[in-house]
Amino acid sequence: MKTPQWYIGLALLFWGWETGLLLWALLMAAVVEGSRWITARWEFADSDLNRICDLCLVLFLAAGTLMYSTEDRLIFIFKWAQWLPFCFFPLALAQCYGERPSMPLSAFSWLLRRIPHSPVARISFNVSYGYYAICLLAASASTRADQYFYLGVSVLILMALSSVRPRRVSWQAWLVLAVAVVLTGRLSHQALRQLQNSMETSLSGWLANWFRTTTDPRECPTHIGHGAMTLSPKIVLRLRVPGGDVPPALLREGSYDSYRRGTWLAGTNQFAQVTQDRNGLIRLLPPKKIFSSVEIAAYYPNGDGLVPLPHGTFQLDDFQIGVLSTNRFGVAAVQAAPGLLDFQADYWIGPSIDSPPGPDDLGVPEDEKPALTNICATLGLANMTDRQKIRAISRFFQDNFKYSLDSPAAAGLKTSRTPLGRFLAESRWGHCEYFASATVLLLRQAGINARYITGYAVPESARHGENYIVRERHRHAWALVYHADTQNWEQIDNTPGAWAEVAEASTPWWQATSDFMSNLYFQFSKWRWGKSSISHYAQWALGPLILYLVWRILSTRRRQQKSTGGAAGLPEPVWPGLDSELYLINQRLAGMNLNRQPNEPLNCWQRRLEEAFPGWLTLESIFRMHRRLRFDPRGLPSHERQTLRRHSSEWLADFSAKLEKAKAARANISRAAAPDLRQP
Amino acid sequence: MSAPQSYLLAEQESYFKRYLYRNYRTFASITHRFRRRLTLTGWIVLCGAVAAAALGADTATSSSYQTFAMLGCLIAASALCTPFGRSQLSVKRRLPKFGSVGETLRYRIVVRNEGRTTQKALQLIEDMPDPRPTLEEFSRTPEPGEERRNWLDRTYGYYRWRWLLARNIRARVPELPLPDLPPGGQCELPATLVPLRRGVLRLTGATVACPDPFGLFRLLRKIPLPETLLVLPKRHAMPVFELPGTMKYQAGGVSLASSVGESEEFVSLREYRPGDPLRRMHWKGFAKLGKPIVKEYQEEFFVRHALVLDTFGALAQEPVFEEAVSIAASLACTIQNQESLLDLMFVGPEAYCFTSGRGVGHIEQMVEILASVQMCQEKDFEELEHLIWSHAAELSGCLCVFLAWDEPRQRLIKGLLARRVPLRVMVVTESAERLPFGVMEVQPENFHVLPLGQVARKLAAL
Repeated sequence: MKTPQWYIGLALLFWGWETGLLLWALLMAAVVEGSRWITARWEFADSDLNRICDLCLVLFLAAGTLMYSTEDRLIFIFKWAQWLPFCFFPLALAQCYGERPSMPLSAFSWLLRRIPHSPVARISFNVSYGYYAICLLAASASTRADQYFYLGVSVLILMALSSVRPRRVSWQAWLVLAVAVVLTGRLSHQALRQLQNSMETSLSGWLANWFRTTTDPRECPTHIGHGAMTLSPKIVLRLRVPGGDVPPALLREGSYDSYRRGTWLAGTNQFAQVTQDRNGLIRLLPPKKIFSSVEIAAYYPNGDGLVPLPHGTFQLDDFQIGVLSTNRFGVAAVQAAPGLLDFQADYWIGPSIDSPPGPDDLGVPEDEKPALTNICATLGLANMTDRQKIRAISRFFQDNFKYSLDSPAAAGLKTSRTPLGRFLAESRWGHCEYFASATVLLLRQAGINARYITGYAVPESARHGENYIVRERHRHAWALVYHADTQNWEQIDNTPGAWAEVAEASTPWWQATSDFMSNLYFQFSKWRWGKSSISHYAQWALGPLILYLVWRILSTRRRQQKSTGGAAGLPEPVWPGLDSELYLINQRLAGMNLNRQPNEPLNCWQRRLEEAFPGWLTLESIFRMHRRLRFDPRGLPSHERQTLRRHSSEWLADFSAKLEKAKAARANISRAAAPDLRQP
Repeated sequence: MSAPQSYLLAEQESYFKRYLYRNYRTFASITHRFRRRLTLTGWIVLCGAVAAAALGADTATSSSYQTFAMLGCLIAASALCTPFGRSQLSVKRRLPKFGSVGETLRYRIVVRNEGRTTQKALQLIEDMPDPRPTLEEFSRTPEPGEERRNWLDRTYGYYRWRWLLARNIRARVPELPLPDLPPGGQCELPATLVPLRRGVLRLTGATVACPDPFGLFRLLRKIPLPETLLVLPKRHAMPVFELPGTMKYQAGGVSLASSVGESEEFVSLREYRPGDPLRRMHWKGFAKLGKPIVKEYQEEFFVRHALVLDTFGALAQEPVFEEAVSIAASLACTIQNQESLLDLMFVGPEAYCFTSGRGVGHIEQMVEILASVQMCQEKDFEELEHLIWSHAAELSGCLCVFLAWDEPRQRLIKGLLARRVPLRVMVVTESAERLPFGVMEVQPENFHVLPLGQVARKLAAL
């Protein structure tokens, strides 16, 4: 089944129009449709078709790799699909410019190539409709909104179907049905669009609640007053400290200033974009002379999120892709980031990007005040300096509190106090959020500006050589305190040091396997997002491979120029030798009872012709070469094939000339005999 | 392992096999239905719809959802229009009695339009019996070479299922396009089928396929038309075959088959001598001459060969067995037995010996018998030995076609050699490995190893 004239050309033009590759599409359409006028054809053997299919596969995979490494996330699939007509163009060319009307199924399957004589492997078909479908699919993958797309794709689909319309259906009925299908399809796709919109609207909130995994810079709901915390061993960050230096103990993600019933909130929270230079260097503060560096790798599957940074970060290096912005709490957020962000953060001990304290940094909720006032009075903070207050509060937590993943409220302690009040006055055990929140509120009660910070701790147990692996269970909360004398913010973590041991104790038995898989994924992500040089080498390696395959296919020794003589009238050969010129001779002799009779062996016919044309020496060689062309499994070499053509055409020319001469002679005889007839 | 534990394991395995069998059976049924009902255009449209759906999952990203909507409506319209393509046809088949494995069989089909409308663009499909194997067949029949497959393939048995399915497809029949048939119109069409396996080929009916307006689906209407034909084994071309051996006395003579009891070749009449049996008395001569006259017979000596077909092998050896049957059929057809007898000996449910030649039976009958020979699983090789020993005294020579060259077979050959029965031994093997001559090393020229795939060539070179 072959597509009618112009169909593939039109499909290619439609694809080019939709994808913005119109120039390429014009060129390809011209080449494909040009096969109607260009008579040159290639004789493709099975092995050649296998190579062409392999070439298409290589192009397909190369296009996929290229798109995957250059395009943004899922969009690469659409771009890849748009390139399908390019990838399978060699196949379409082989179909158009090949001698064979169809291609065996074995060319498309490596498995079937191993059993070339099986009936399935010998099933052959014309690929033109398949290529036509590929063009339409590629046009559909266009990400450009086009109001004429539906009309175009409908017309092209119906054109294809009209060429295979069963004869039992009249044109009128078929057209009515086709129009009904097109109209129903239009209503259907509009309904699909509306359905998706309504689903997105109704489900977005629900989905957001279930799938929220990143830290929200505006609010941070804590586990205070709720059940026990669960710890996951999933690796979330990978750190590398050059030269075996000490890593930052804490990496900040979020910073908040208001506490309200178990939730920390950030007040005025406008993010401002930070500019970066051409080398990917982002300066947050003026450069420092004495500083430490850490390389941080974090995943951003959705392309945006908060960037974990050490306190005192003044510049980010190797930050190639993505838009970085910061807010007044020193929180850094990235947008349009690659799936894996791998950068270097330079930090120091001194002024940070945190804004000076505001009125909210001293705010204490009314319901928490009773417990806080009692503690402050007990500790005698009123007569201390700020630094003494900070030390006293730290000592208070170290001496009287214990770490636990459980929550005091969940342990059955029922009083009228708030959860945080119960933690401070009664239970005196809890997890890091209790300690951090209590520290911030106590400091504020004592008149010191403080903020609540969330992020990750980097314990010594996370060390693997120069690298540090930070897991989900290392998620941590601590306080940021403002020193009025130095006008600097400083981190203070009053959670007992035992928390790291408790976190490590919950290591599951499958962690080693999980880490191995995670490491593989990390290496793959590094390659995927251009942090590995393998992809560059792979792309360069594909070029010679493609060129080699093209050279093997287009090897000129297989090229054959079709005879322009009388070959036009012959049907396309199905088996080798059916295009032999002996059939033209047979055709020419048809009216003279000298053509080959049904059931007449070739030898007998040859003998009959030799008797009829004595002295025509080329006849024997024509028969000999025809036999070899038709029946010899090794075929006829190209120079002998040319000889057969030449001898046959010469024989036909001689025959025509002699026939004309004989006719003329007969006419002369008739004219000479005519007066005799008129005589009485 | 204790007995209850092994019983439990066997039970679990049986449940697992049953579960796999049901899955494969259902999947094969769905695939078969889809293949028959969907046209090539239908497959392209269906695949296109699936691809467009995958690309158009997000309607805001690409226009693929519009293509999907168009193709989806097209499929729905085709499916809705399909039941309107009903046709009323009657079909008759003119089938020959025999066919041969691998040879295209030509026959004729008569189709008549019994309806009131002209029928166009219809296709006729021959129906075969359900090729899906039974649970028992699936559980117990290993695929040839299955032991070489990996653990997963052996456990799940998918390749076994595919092999069994292919094995049970007994013929390849192309679909037949029907010409336009006006109301009451009739046509006779040439049809072909290629038998793939020997034995009885059952054609259960014919199905008329009618396409929908877009040519995506087909409405199938089954017409019951059960008929059978016998598919003869494949025969290989062989040169004229010189059989070993000399004439032997044959009790019963030539007319063994045309009469019952002891009947030898009549020579002449002579006078009665004391001791002549009374039943040889020629009563007409006695009445005419008035003295007792008796009929004189001559005892017959002629060549009688045995063609021994080995039917003892594992089920996985089926390709080897099929080739052995083909070799036996080729030998039976090639041997010039106008002046000799040929006994075909094999063991099936019982031990059989069929004789042909010199008017006793025809080669065609022997080939028909070979078309139905099955492997023997119930009996031992000794059964075949007994059969041969019971005829050994009459045999001028013996042609043996074996499936293996092991100790029991060599013992049989040794016994025949000891009785000085001229022999030709052919062993069919799966691979082209060389077999030791064993007891045939005294006559290596009469020992032939025929590996699968080289049988035709080797037989032609005999």
